[in-house]
Amino acid sequence: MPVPSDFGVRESDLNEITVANDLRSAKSPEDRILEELAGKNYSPEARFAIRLALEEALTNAVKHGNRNNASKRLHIRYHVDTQRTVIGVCDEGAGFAPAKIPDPTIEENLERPCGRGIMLMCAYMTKVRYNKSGNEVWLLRVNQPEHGACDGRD
Amino acid sequence: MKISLRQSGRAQIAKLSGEVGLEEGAELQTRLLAAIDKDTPHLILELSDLAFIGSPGLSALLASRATARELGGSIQIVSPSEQIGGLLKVTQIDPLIRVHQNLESAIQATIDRPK
Repeated sequence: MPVPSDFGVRESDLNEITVANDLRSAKSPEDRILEELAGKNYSPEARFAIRLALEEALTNAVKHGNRNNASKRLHIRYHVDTQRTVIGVCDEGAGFAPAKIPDPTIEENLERPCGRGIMLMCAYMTKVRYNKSGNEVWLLRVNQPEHGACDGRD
Repeated sequence: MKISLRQSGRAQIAKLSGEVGLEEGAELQTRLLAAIDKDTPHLILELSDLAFIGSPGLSALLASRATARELGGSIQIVSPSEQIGGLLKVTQIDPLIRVHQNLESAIQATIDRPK
């Protein structure tokens, strides 16, 4: 899936990293993106929000997308500038239907230890977009206070 | 992530510092669950030096809460950062785990609870 056209960056703007399918390897692109955020003077609140959403995307890709399969890989594309951060995380799994994930904020699900990932990404990023098969997610955070809309699937 | 534990009455006080990121959630859950038993069913999490926690860390808190409740105990949180306090609200965990501004209030909450 190409970067969504309304995210404000071109394919040629994106950096690309492919890593092994485990959380330790996933730290590498995370560290690079966090370094760029710090270097471009994002606020502590913005860095917290982007890290939270990115970790959700990476954890979902490793555990649910690639099902902890060590032979699979994660593909991360990203762009950070002073105006916006765009991150795409793609796994090699079969995908899923985001709309079928139970709402973790309704009373019967509040005490469940899992299932908050998509809700958190939507709460902390300006836009969140999945591809049709659900194995790739794009995150946009505009570097200003206004954020919090979730587009769902493309 | 660093965890230091000390006991106060029927509570274990766990001071967390650093970050609970991609790799630390599972370790946090193991350490917290090991701290809860029938003699110390209450867990007080002092978070003033914790800079980041993601959803694996939140899952560890909820798993600890479930174990504590099975033993008649509770989980109390003390002094989260503005970002972590906000995260507890967004995830609607804050009604499940009481947040205190100081340690004394959290310790008193564990004393006030019936056995």
